[in-house]
Amino acid sequence: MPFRRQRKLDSLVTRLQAQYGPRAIHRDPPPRAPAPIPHVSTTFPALDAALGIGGLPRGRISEISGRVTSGKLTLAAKILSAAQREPDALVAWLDLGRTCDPDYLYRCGVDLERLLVVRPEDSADALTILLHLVESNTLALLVFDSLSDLRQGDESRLAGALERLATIVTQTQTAVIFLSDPGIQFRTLAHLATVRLELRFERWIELGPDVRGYEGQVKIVKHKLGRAGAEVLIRIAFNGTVSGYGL
Amino acid sequence: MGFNQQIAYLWVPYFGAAVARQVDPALDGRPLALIDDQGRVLAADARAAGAGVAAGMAERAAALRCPPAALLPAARYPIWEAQEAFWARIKRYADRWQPDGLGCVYLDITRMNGDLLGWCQAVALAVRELGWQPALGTTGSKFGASVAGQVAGGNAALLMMPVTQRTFLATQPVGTLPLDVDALTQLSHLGIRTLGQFARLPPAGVLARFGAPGRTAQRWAQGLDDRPVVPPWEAPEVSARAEFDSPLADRERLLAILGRHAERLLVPLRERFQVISRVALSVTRADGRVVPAGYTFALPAAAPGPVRFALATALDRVTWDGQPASEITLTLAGITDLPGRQLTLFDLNPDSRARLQATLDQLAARFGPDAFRFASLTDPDNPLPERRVSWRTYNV
Repeated sequence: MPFRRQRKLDSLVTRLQAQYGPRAIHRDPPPRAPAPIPHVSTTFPALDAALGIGGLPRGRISEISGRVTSGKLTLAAKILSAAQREPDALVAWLDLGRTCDPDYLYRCGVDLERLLVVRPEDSADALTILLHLVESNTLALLVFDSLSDLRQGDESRLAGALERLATIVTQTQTAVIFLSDPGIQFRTLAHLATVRLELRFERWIELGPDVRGYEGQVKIVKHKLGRAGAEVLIRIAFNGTVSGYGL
Repeated sequence: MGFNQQIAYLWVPYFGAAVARQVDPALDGRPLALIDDQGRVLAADARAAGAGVAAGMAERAAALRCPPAALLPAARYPIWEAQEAFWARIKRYADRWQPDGLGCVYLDITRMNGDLLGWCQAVALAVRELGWQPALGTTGSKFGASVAGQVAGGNAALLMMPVTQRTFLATQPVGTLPLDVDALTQLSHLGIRTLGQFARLPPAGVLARFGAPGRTAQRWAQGLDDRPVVPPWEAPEVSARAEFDSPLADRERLLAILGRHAERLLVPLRERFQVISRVALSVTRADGRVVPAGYTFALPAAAPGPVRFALATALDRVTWDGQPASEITLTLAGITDLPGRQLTLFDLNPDSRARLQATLDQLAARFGPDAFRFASLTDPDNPLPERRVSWRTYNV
């Protein structure tokens, strides 16, 4: 803009602001780059890229669903290990099904010293403990294993807890992941989850007579902070430790 | 034999289960296994043991081996207190005694003069008065006595007193030796079934194949076990006595009095960085009867909170029968030095950690500390995944 016109405009703006107040007319600040969304990497670069924000969001609810042997527990374990990359990060595994295998989590890279395993008596206790732990805002990640272990008739209790959780979790830096089975649908969770991933077993990776791992297809069913619908192939190898593709 | 000693092995078969059944008779009729705070089997009864449940086994494995078994937390029953009572009753019957696991002791009766059979009956009567059925074995060595005792217990007999130790041992199965599973498997493959067969093997060959432990086991199988009975080290104790002019029945007042006495006794201990393992009460009731009660800590402590809890628990265990107390003697026993704590390699954020601790304190008080656990990899090479880790519950 020419200097004289710029000066006339500045003078007009000053007069208007003097007459009607500074908020009557003002300039927009220069556009800034969008702030990164706090997240926890899934440790699978292709999946992180497909999610758009670099992983699963912190301060939000996510859901990983898949049938038995689809790899959802392994994916959750790898995300736990990624959450522990921060020096002081504590993580928790809410083991409703009492199937938590620390040895397997260790082989997935989880530091057991910074892993709290919660074994509640029943689903009502589990949901109460979940709310309290998230409210304390001390955990980087909490995995709820799993919704399929909830008792019959606990849907309404879960719905109430989830609604409260959705309010609480946004005030924290905790990523909450629910593991579930696609055969059992929880409508409240489907509604409140920010990210929903669905895992499907694809094939075993074989080398001669040995099974060296497996491939799974991850579909981003829902993503409130990015693009949904993408499908990503992840590879999980067995070699004493459990490593993801690209690690 | 070459060693001039006479050893008796006294044990109560399935001691933990016997104590639990004594406390809760409703447990009769079902196989029973008691689970410790690490999630492992601490003790099992005969039926559960017969189905393959053994001490040290993971709870899940025990449930798989014996599905009808009741798997109950051992902390619910006063097993350690019962063991202390067992020891206190038994140790007067021998010059020296040595505990050997739950409900098992070695007694050195070398210098005992008189009727051995009568002595055994007196010991058995003392144990039966506590409500348990004992079994005894006596020979000239600790190993021989333990095998004889197990034979007696296995046959629901009171006493096994072999005339000749070597002849007796020769017919016993080789599995009674404390060899590891690999060595026992090798012996089985070699066709060695009895201690007699093992005892006759060339010593050099045993040493070459099984090493020094194998050679020691062979000497035991030959009746050449010269290990003495080593009495346990008895930790010092302190006590205080409170007499009441008029007998007291109010629990809160009694607890306050006990708390004051305990605190006075604990102050010098804390200054020396010492802790106690057990709180014992001896209550003299108004009817003149003296009633003992106690509480044993899972981990020795001297902090006010645990001691207050121990006093309250011990007081609740006193049999009052509607009688007030005219005198109470408080004993803080098992005084030891405070053990050092394992430092973590990870210096956690103190703020975050303090907040988590506060949250977990509240949750553990509400849902029980057992619900909150940390795992550690203690045996990473074990072929069974559930044995590679051990659990520790959150301590409030």
